[in-house]
Amino acid sequence: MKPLLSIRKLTKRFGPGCEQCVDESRWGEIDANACPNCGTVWALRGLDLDLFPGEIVGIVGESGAGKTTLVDLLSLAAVPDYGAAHLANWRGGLHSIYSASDQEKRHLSNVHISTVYQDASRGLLMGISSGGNVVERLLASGERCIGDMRARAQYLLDYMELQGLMDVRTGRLSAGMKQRVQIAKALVHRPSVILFDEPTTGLDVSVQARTLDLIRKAQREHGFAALLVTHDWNVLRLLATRALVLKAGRVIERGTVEQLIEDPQAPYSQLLIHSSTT
Amino acid sequence: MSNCIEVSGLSKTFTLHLVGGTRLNALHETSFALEHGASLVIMGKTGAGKSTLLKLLAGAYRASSGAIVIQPSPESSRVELASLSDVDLIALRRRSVGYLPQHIHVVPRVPAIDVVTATGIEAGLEEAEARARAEELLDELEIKRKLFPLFPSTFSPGERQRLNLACALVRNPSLLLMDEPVSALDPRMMQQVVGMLQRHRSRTGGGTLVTILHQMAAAEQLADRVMVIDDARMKAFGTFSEVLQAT
Ligand SMILES: Nc1ncnc2c1ncn2[C@@H]1O[C@H](COP(=O)(O)OP(=O)(O)OP(=O)(O)O)[C@@H](O)[C@H]1O
Ligand SMILES: Nc1ncnc2c1ncn2[C@@H]1O[C@H](COP(=O)(O)OP(=O)(O)OP(=O)(O)O)[C@@H](O)[C@H]1O
Ligand SMILES: [Mg+2]
Ligand SMILES: [Mg+2]
Ligand SMILES: [Zn+2]
Repeated sequence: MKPLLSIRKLTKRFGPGCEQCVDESRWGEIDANACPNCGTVWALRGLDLDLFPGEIVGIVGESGAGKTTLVDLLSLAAVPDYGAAHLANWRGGLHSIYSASDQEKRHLSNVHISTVYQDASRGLLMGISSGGNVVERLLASGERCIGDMRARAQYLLDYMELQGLMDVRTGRLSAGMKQRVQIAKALVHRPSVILFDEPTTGLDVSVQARTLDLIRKAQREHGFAALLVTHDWNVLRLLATRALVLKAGRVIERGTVEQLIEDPQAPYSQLLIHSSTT
Repeated sequence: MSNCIEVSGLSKTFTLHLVGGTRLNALHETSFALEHGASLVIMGKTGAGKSTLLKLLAGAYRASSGAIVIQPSPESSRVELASLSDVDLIALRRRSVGYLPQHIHVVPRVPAIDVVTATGIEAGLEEAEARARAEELLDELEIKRKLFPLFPSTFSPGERQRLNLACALVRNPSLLLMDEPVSALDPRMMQQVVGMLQRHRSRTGGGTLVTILHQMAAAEQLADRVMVIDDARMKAFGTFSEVLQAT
């Protein structure tokens, strides 16, 4: 089986870097993500990952580990300082998505790689209706038939159990409903990859469970591959089959979700698991 | 006869970083081989290391040293567990190596029948076939029809255990690893499950079983090989009578 998304040495820093911290062989010595010499923050350092069709890979790590940085890089909201990502169904996987023109990038993030954010206001326009949010995606890719677009939006909102809320202003919906509008919007072009950045963090437990169910259902029926950023090991167990543990921008451990929960190796992974409530 | 499992010099030491790096030796230098089609029962006191061995075989724990080579069925290829990528390990577990853990996690808010059906689909069955198999297994395990649409989080421990057995069997794995699969069942139900496992073996045409059991009666019926683990070490391995004599 060939990977859908191949990520190689993906690196993002905030700051100029200096001789000490640019040297990859010395990253192991730096425990935090900020260079003690020049203060540059290395938000992500040399991440490698192959994402296969239809799988969900978890990304775990404490605050500041670089999880959102990874999502921003893959959703093309940011550019890496180093590294590449190849998407098999874009230009035959021959070119890194970072070599795309601005217009191609808009197409990639609109059609091929969707993102669901923890903060719904990053993913949705709060001043317009939930249907409008989904339709906006279709307009952006050049569709013009209003009737068709409304029908598609209606279908997806119903699919996300948002019956009758098509014309309600998004800002008036509850937090859980907003997340479901984001998922409906993310699905509209049947993307091959969806990036979920803490999709259920901050929701009430019962709302969270329902949202997770809908993500599971959508994944089964639409077959997308996903990266799932989460703090919650139960969410990971439910949705993902394998995961990476990030610390200070580096992958310190990877394995099946079962291995990471049952037999975490790195001290930091043990701390993460035992400090959560599994 | 070729081997389904070959274990050599297998050890597992946990390093507990949160308690000052304490090292805990849960399995020490264990070696054995199990032929295709055999049924091995593992016995031993609580805390001896039985679940540790089973989790190593399932790839849920990573070995500290030694090797595990698995060939689920005579037709499949031999793999060394430690050399598999996580993606390949997941595929192996879906396709041909079933594992029923001692402590069971239920998927929230999914009807029991769908839990079993989804497991079958994961293993490559068509939806209709998976559902039919799921119903058949749950019937055989005497899960009442009226429980089918309910969420397993409301099930009794014995019902949950049977649901998980159904999940393990619906995949029809060539190698099935089970950690105390009848601990929550009454003697009659236990008997029923033992019968099902025996039928599973003949149906898979020589499926291999590894089962941790405390119940002598069930062990005697199910086992053609017995292993006794004591204090992280394999103390005996052989046929039922050989092991009885040795211990
Ligand atoms: N624009 C920026 N300028 C400077 N530093 C930044 C910027 N964006 C992120 N960082 C730093 O990069 C590091 C990684 O941040 P990131 O948002 O990826 O963390 P995270 O793992 O998503 O954390 P959380 O769990 O809190 O969301 C942090 O140290 C952060 O302060
Ligand atoms: N993930 C783990 N982390 C740390 N220690 C562990 C872990 N798993 C097992 N152990 C330890 O290894 C030893 C053997 O445990 P194991 O679960 O294999 O025993 P067992 O023979 O299955 O016992 P029981 O009959 O009670 O289920 C125990 O001391 C246990 O605490
Ligand atoms: Mg973040
Ligand atoms: Mg045990
Ligand atoms: Zn520096």
